[in-house]
Amino acid sequence: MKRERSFVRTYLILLISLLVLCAGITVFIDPYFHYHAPLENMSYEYRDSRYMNPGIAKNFTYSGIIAGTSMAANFHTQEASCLFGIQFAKMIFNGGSYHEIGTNIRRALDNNSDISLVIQVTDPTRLIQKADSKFHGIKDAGYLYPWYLYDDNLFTDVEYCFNKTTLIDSAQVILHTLQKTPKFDMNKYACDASNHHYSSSNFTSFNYDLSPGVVQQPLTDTEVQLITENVTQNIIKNALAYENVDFYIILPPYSALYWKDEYEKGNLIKIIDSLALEVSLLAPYKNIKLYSFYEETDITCNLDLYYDLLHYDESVNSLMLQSIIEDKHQLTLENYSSYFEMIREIYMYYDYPCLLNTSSKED
Amino acid sequence: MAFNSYSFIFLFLPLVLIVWGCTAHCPKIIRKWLLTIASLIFICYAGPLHLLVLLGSLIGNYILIVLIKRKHPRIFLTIGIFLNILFLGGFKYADFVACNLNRIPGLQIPAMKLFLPLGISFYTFQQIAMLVDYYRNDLEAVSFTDYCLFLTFFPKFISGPLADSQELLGQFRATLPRLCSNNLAHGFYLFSFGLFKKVIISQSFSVIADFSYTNLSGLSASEAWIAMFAYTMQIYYDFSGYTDMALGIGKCLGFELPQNFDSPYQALSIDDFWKRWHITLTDFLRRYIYFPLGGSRKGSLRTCVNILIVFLVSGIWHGSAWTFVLWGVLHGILQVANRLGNKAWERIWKPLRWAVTFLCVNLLWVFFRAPSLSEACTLISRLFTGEFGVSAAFIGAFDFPEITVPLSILGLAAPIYRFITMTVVYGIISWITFMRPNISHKAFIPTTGRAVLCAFLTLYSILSLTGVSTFIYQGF
Repeated sequence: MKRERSFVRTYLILLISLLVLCAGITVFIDPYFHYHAPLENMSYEYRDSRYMNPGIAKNFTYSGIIAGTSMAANFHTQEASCLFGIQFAKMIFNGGSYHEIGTNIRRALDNNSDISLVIQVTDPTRLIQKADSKFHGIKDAGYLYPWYLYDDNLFTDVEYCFNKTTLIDSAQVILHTLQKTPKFDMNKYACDASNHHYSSSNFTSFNYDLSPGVVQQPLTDTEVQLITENVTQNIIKNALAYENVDFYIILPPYSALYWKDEYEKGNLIKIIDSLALEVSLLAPYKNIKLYSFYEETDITCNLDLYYDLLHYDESVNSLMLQSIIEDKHQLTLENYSSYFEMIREIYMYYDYPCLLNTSSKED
Repeated sequence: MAFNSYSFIFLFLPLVLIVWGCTAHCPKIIRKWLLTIASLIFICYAGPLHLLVLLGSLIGNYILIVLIKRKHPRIFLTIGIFLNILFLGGFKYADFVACNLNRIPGLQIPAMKLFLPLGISFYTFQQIAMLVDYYRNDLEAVSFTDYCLFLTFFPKFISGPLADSQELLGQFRATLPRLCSNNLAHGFYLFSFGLFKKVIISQSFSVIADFSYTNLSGLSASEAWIAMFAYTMQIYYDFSGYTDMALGIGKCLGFELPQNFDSPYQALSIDDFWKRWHITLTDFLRRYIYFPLGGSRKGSLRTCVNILIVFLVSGIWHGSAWTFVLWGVLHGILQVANRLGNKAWERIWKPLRWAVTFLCVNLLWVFFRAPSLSEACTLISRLFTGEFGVSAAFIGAFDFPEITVPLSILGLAAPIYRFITMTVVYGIISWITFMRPNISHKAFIPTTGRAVLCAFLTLYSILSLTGVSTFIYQGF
């Protein structure tokens, strides 16, 4: 009996002590900024942005937000700060839905009264979705969504505090600090341009010939409703709740080959009309400004700026920021109809085979 | 609520143990209901519908038990068995049957898409067993209190073991145990090892198995063999781990649950395998299907038929898909072959008997794991392609930060080092599997060293809870 009592005592005391120690380390270091901003003089490394975005939203100091899917990943906050005169934080959700991004922007707005500007890149591939779509495709890939970092529920924080990966990441922070690795840099956060090769050589196997007479599907009533709810719930609602905050919504310049691809699937008209609908819903609001770059064929038809049909080089991100400051490429209630008519004309009848001969960009 | 979850380990189990300990002096009936209520809360965590279905089944079967003793026992037994099978079949097999009937031209039965109630296969079988035992007078009169507790007892509810009603009810009728260090020590010991087996060992094999089954056509022969072996080990440690946890929790409360596992991969024949794997299910099938069919008393041919029927039922019980049916039938065929050739088999060199048995078990697990018959055949065909070598993507599936991070720090991030580490880790686990007895069969000696080991195993397992797949047997 004495041995059993000793066993139970040793087991429980040791287990509880170690659990408290592990949780303590995680809470103190806080590798995903769940409880506080990065500790002074400690070198935090970049993790999956979905793990860091909610912490950045709540605990960092900033007056501007750059948010969106991977389309916004290569914005540089330093550049934005120079142009707009305020400090920016980036919140990127690769493959994210409007709901996911809008909810996190709302989290930021609710926790930070200093925010005066939101630059949000909306992704047309996520437009015709249910308003409460949480994420797209990640579930099927077995991704472990860190809901416990988003739900403001202290009880679910056990998944953060008693998590070997978080503990290892905390240890990595200590290690990197000792190794004097550079500290967490918002300017480089979520940037992935260096991981990709932007070149027209990525598209050599693409079929450039336009199939004649492909029937283009219009938007259905159901899709109109989905778009209306999606945009209303995830963008307009934020703008209405924070009328003193400016929302700059950017429609990102997918490559011309994206439009060709959608044409072949019969979706080109549908997508253009969905974008027009989105703009018509957002443009009436005083604190929402819209910017689009689809007509910039110097960009969209320069395949050296892309690594796939959608994703462009960081120079395009810079150009978008410059355009906003110079008030170029803005869409309004007055001009959006003719704008999308023009876009339709460009991409329905574009000479795609000529893109085969796109010259390489200068070094 | 899974045993390997934060809510169970941090909240439910400690609360239950504390309440159980604090109510040691309360009347027996109160303690039983407290345990029953705790079990109902455990079940309700999965969703109120699961609880409602269970309660419906429980009340219905209890009424039948009362009626069996009153009049027309045979009629009520028949009704009871029929209704239970219909109940289980409706939830678990209706869509499978409909899908297959729809292959008949002109037939279009809509799918009902019913949810699968938690533990339905286990508690339905448990209740059929009780009805039969009651009919045969093998079971004393059972109060509603004891019946509820027996059926809902949370350590065994989700995935067994299929406790013998007489045995466990006897424990509930006796003086209820108090919390004591003797039981807690042994219980914590079993629970910590079970948790480690489930969360760490099973998971480490599941990454290889899951990767392989999503990339079947691209596997080399080596990868296919590793994948097959990985699933064999995954399901072993998943079930073994779960069982140890169940036994451990029961032990903490002072109750003995039956052994369900006895190092099955050390079996020297298929017959031996089924005496070591899911022992309580084998026992159930033998007592309630094999023996009523005549067992081995009606000649050799009839015995073989009875064996095939038992394994057909076993296959169907495990899942509503043709892969499970085939898995069961193939085991039945091997069992028949074992029976017929047992004398010759016994004369074969022991290591060879073990190797052939293990190989057969491995091959049949492929049908258990594969989503479809064609995918099972694809994996089996990949075993013999003659293409050897292991790809970087395959090795990359073995991605544990506690291994990859130290390797990176040491400058050993290349796939070859990960493969070597993987081989060493799997080798150690295999040695334990094939050479060592199951932890629940070993005498428990409470030493400080073991307490420290258990604390670290539990800690490591808790820290690894995020990212662990659900129990394989939870779907039954």
